[in-house]
Amino acid sequence: MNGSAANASPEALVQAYLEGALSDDDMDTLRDWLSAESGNMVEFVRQLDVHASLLERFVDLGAQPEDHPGQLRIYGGSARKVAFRRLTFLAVAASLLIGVGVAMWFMTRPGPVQLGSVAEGEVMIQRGTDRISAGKDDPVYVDDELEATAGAVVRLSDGSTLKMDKGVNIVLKHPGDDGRSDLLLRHGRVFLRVAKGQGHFRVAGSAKVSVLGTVFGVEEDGARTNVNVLEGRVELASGSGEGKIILIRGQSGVSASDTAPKRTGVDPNQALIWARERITFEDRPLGDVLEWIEANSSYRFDISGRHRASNRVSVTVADEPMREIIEAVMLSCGLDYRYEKHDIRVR
Amino acid sequence: MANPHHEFLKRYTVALPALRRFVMAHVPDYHEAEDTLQRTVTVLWDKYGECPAGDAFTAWAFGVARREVLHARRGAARSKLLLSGDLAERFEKVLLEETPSFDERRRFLDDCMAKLPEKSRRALDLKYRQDKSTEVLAESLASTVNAVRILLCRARQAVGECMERALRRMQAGENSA
Repeated sequence: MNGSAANASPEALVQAYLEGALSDDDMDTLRDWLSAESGNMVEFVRQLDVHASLLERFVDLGAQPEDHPGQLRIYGGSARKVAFRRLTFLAVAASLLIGVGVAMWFMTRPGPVQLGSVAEGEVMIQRGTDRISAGKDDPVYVDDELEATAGAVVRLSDGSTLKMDKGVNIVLKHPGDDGRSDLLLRHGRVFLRVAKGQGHFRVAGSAKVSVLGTVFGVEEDGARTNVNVLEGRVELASGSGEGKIILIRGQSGVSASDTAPKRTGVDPNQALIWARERITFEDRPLGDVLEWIEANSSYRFDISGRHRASNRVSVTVADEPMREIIEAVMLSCGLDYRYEKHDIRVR
Repeated sequence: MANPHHEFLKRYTVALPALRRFVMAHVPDYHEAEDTLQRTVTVLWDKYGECPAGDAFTAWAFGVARREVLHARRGAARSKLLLSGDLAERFEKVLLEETPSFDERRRFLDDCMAKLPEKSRRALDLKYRQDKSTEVLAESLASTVNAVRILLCRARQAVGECMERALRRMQAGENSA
């Protein structure tokens, strides 16, 4: 049984109701049960109270996930840098042994480490004392301070992308002792799409944001850091490191330097409209459109391959709320659907 | 003359637990329910001048919340909501009767969860702490969706009864002290 609680006990019906997963027939059965005895309504309300208390208890305080032993803790570009360090160490040691340490150091010293390149738009880069305008395919290095006067995208070496909104100021920091690449977001909004199976990043603003493999946005206004997650997990900690929460798909949080992070309840799909490109689909399979929606929102579809392939859609989307886009797409295909949090079941 | 801000806050604070549960009963998604509650509060404040005097604030607030719920769930069939007819009235009445003890009972939530059998505790943990769907729970617990729904319902019932007992014990202790 999936969704419908047909022929189920009152207990299953109550639970299905709280999940928003009752069919019309099930709803009638639940109504009959609630009407049958006055005690049933009392039981329903008490169920609702515990349900609400549990949601408030865990959602408000932030989900406390169990350990994630499988989480990769390698950060963007770190493997290359670690290898570089080892080479440098070996080279210096060898040079001491053969008495030409200074010469060897000059031969083996690391040059600037490239972290990626500009993929779209133009950024102003403060590199040491130089101020450089960088366009498509120009490299970006560790310690570069990037400013986007208009929107721009930087593709990092591991395939991850960093989209910067107009007015962003961000520094690509040297990896710390743990080999993590840090992005110091001083101001503005960025949208990170971390390459699957690749490194992770730590974004520092007023709060610390550790990425555990995900698609998410961060907004820094100098005092607070807002995080919106479309996919995966993000750890949000206050700047002082006191208190942290894990945000998962469809969740948003806020933290500051001295304030414990908390969830905001903001719809990340709404908050990240700025990062979305205008796109037109003309007579395309529904599957293509749903794939785009899934890549640009927290919503995931449970829909048959037949529906994906047999329906065709023509639609232009820009900055409409994602729910409106989904409604328009589903209506155009004549499909019935329902939300289960951020999962959408299509019949 | 009473300060309308203070008066509103006082009446709203009293009504809030019931109002919150009213919204959550009709809007399954927690964040959407919170948004709906926020919109309800905004409308309540904007239209506070229209609120009848006396004890009618909560009933009036339910009316406002009902409209906001319908707006939030405009995509859902109304037949799937408990928002009209005798049943809705009874639901609201019971909600108001039960509300006073909600907040007092809640302090015992963690203790009562800890007393649950392992399987029930794990089911609640997966559902609420880890935000898993019932289908995922069924897979994790090697069970069916229907059985998991019953398990969740019984676990909540056990937690509710435990909190009720704990509250009664505490009140009995206070009275005898």
